[in-house]
Amino acid sequence: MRILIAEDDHVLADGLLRTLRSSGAAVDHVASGAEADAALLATDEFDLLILDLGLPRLHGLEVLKRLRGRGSALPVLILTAADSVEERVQGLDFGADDYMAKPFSLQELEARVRALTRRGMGATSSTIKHGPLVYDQAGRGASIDGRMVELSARELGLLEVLLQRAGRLVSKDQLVERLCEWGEEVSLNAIEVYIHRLRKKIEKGPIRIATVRGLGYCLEKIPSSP
Amino acid sequence: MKLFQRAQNSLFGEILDSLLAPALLIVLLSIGVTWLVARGIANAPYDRALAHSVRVLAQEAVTAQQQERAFAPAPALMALLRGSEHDQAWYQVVDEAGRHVAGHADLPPPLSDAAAPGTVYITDGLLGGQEVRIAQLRVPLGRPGQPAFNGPPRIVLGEGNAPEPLPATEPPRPDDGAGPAAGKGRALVVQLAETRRRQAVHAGEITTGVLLPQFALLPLAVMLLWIALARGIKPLSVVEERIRERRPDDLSPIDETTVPLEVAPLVSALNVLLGKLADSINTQKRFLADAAHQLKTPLAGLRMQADLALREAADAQALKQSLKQIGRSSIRATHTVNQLLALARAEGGSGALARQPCDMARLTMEVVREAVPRAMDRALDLGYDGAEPGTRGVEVLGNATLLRELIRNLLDNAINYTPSSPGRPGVITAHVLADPFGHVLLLQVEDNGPGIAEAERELVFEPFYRVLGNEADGSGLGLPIVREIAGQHRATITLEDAHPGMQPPGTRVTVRFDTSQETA
Repeated sequence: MRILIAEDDHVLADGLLRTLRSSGAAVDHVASGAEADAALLATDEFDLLILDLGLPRLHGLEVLKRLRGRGSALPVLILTAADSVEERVQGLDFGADDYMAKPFSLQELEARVRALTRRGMGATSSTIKHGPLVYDQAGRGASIDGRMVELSARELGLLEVLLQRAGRLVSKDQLVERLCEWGEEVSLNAIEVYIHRLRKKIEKGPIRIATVRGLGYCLEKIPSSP
Repeated sequence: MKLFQRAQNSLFGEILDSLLAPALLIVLLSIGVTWLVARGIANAPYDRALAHSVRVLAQEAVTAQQQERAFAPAPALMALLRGSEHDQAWYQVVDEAGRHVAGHADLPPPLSDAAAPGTVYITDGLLGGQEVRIAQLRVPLGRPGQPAFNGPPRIVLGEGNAPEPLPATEPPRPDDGAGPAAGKGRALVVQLAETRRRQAVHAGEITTGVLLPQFALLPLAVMLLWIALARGIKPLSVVEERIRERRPDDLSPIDETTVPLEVAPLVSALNVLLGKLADSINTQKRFLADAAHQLKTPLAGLRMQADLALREAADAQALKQSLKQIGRSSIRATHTVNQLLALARAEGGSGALARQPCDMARLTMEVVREAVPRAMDRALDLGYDGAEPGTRGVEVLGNATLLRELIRNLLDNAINYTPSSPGRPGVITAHVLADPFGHVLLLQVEDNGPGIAEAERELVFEPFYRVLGNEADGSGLGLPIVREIAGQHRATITLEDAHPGMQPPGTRVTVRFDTSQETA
């Protein structure tokens, strides 16, 4: 999971970064509205945007407006210090998916992040089923036929992306973008290694990660039982 | 006269009093005038009758003299000559030399200057303790059979009135007929005195009849005045009602068009005051909202870091990191609160500013000295370059505490926003330039940081506006505070690039003080 945080207070940003990273997400941080807009333009591989409204250089709502104006369906969670009804209504009308007033608790933040990324994946509950594979978003774990599977953070991230796009092709570059923050170097070869390891752990029964030569990978859809 | 005034100045009372005093005076005057006129009126007919009577008497006396018999008017005549049955009359006849001829001896002697013959002189006098009215007539002794007078009597009233000389009605005769020895001479002076009791009663009746209604008028006038005034002032209580009925937070202007003309300027001034009050309250509300807003973010950071630290999985390293961040957020929040207080203090002191001569060079050097540790923490080169304390023109009339605050905020901004690296060290310089002849003092803080874009040079003075730089720990209130304090010292602020054309251009903030009133 890749998350972009747009927050100008460094202490708060640090807290958010550490929290989200500890749940395995790849998190990037910008401190101004202008930078947020640029980052969102550069890539659409983010799963979630956490947007503080009181950003310098470009107001948060303006960033949101531009994002939605480009037709992006990226889930957006708004953080703000003002807690008025007008602001809430305005934020939601401009296209935010959820809203949190500062100060907030860690647990609530994590739950809302989960809910929003779930929605992005098209799932309705905290767990995603893929045949015998059950992926628990909250607990950050996967199980097959009820038995827990030990996966590293990278492997979990990879599985999440493939599950999100189950049945669709995901290129190696996309995988890199999804798994890595700015400044991290993950080579395409490394991706192959991770896929190899993941396959060894989860390819059981109908679960299969197909290789599309020269293009990428795809988690095959489980055919519905006749 | 302060009949109607109460302890506090009352318009009602004042108007009533200033109307009442003259009114009372007028009434008193009218009483006096009425009484005089009444007396005058009453006197006139009586005096005329008396004049006629004395003429009749005089004619008799002359005739008696001419017939050379003693003068003794019949009692019936006397009764006729008396004014009324309430009064008494006495007569006296003397000759030119003053020798008694007939009548009462005790009458006061005739007036010596009542000399015009044929003119009746009427005066007041005393006879036997009673007040009497005395008519005196000088009558020349003419030929027998010749009437002594022609036409109606001419009356002259009072004593001391110099009678006007008249052409004599009878030319003096060169010789007189023979007569008794004591009547020799060419003229007689006849006096007739009567009491005026009847007249006094009459005068009294007139006076009462005219004056009594006037006494009744006075309270009536006062009452009418009172009612008229009360009605006139009523619109004021309408305005009062309208104001009282307002909700406590209603500061909208009072409708000027429906109040009386005289009160409209007062209401207009009140509306101006209400407007200013509303502005002030709105500014405060906005400010409080902004402040609460600004504190929520550091608080969110604190809470988040605390939650993180309390996580079970947190190791020592993570704990340390969290605590460090908690420290930073607390400091930031404290700083924001302090700046808010400083701004409030700066704004609040605008009324009564204790102004003293302040040596700006000395103040600046002190503040720079205090800021050096902070600058060194960030590897910044902070220095002072300017006038020495005590030189001419460095004194500004103002509040030392606030001026110190101003300098400190300027330095803090420079320190917070100027990056410093070994390759490009950050340099901050404070200048104090005094021009005693032009009566100007410049305080400048210059840095080689990223500068402030022209588009933002107005915005940076807005509370909580923060130009993005590096890790800026500012509260966003520094420049607003500087502007507030500068304004109170009647100084102006300008922002510009320190080194235009260079990259980075750096910032120079100049505060310009007017030192023309100083005696430095």
